[in-house]
Amino acid sequence: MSEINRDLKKANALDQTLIERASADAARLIGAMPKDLNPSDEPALIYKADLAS
Amino acid sequence: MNDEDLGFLSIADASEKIALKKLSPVELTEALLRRAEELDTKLNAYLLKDADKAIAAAQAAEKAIFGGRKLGPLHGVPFGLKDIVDTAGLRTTCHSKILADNIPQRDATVAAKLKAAGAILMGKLSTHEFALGGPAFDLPWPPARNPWNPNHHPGGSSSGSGAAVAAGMLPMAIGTDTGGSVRNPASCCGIVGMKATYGRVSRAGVFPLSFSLDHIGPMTRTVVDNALMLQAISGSDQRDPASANAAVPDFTVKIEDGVKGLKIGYLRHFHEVDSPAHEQMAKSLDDAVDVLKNEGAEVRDVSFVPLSELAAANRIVLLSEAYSIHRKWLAERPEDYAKATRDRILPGAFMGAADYVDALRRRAIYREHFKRLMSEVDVIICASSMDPACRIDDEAEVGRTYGRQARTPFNLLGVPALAIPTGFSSEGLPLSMQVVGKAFDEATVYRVARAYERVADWSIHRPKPN
Repeated sequence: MSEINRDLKKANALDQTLIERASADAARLIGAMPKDLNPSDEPALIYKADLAS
Repeated sequence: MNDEDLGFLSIADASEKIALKKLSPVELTEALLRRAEELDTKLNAYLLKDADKAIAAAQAAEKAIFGGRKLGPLHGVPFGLKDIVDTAGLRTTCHSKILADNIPQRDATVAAKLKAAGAILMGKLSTHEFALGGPAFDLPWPPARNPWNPNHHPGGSSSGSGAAVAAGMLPMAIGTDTGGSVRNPASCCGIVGMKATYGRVSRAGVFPLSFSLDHIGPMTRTVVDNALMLQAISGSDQRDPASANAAVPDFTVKIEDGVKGLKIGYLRHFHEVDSPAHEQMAKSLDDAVDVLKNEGAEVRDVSFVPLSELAAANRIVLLSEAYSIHRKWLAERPEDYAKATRDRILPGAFMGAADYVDALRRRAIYREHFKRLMSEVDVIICASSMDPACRIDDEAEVGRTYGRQARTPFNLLGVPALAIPTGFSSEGLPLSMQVVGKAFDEATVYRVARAYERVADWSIHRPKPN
């Protein structure tokens, strides 16, 4: 495995397989998403400009 | 009335008795505190009871109501809060060692609204750690258990809220729902749980799990009670940047109108194809749809995006935002989290910015698709959980079944979704369905749920956890 992100070093020390499992879970979720977005497909956002801003 | 009968009084009935001076808020509060003493050694629904203040508030309510100054249907009625909801001067832990000594300065908006309606705060209720980890045994407090069988989990993450309401320790409680956490314990415990439209209920003062998916919701034993509670907590709030500036209708005015002439879409592929449900769960869904047909609804099959795709988009958004919130603590003190919570949050560290943005882009597409679908029907019926609650100590089965659900799509879409009981499994554990509506049309969701409940009222059954 490549060098561990410093934010994860303590968690990795607690459980040597945690990062491997987390990385696999993330890959599984990302892999479940279709890859057919059009360049013009906009994201859904929470914040919208209004006249007061 | 004995303590058990008082424990299972609906809000509507309690309110009526209180208004007629046939029941005192103090008598009701004391009875529910005694029930909690009796039952909670098994159920662990409470993290903190605030008995002295509850009795003082009940005395004040009694004086006001009996003096002719009743505020509304919740006045003098006890409630509990999931322990991620801030309460001024009262410990709010998120069921975590990280915040074990946290005492907020100010009430969350939802807590303030319930107090302003005259409801009596009884205490703070168990949750999965930070509303995310599963049932965990390596936290400062034990996990809540299911009143129908304390060897089984009560669902989560609003686990204490579900257990306390189902057990007749409280008539109402607040839960939160980011990927189904009001509707999961409602389904597992056989009660009614509503995730209203995103922005309908203020999130201010509630510890965030995922900013763009978090919802606050009422948990009760009956549909009318749920509508009464949502009425009290809804409305625009400047403290919440996502709060909707939308009018709040009277959620009960058409609640008894029935379903004759309404168009209902039955979304079968979630539980028949995408994530095949336990056969008793599937049969209870078909039976519930038959009830609505017999009541005069026009029911047709509808289809939507595959559940796995919707669930993945929800998890990518949820975990990316949750990791952002927890990154500092996870870096500095990961040992203070439960193992299950670390396991659940950490995938968020491995999602790239483009993955997050892609999920938000898909979210916009799903919303447009859903709007088109809802232009053809008034509500949708679909599964909530695919399985009845399993044993709480069976880590593998908890892991296998927790994700087998159809709730996350409606956090992503931001539309109202209500879980309601549809019976019991052969092992005596609750079964359930969801009623899903158009944005800001909670009233029609309640109307359909109430039409079903009038024919199939599972709330008359009482668990016996002892």
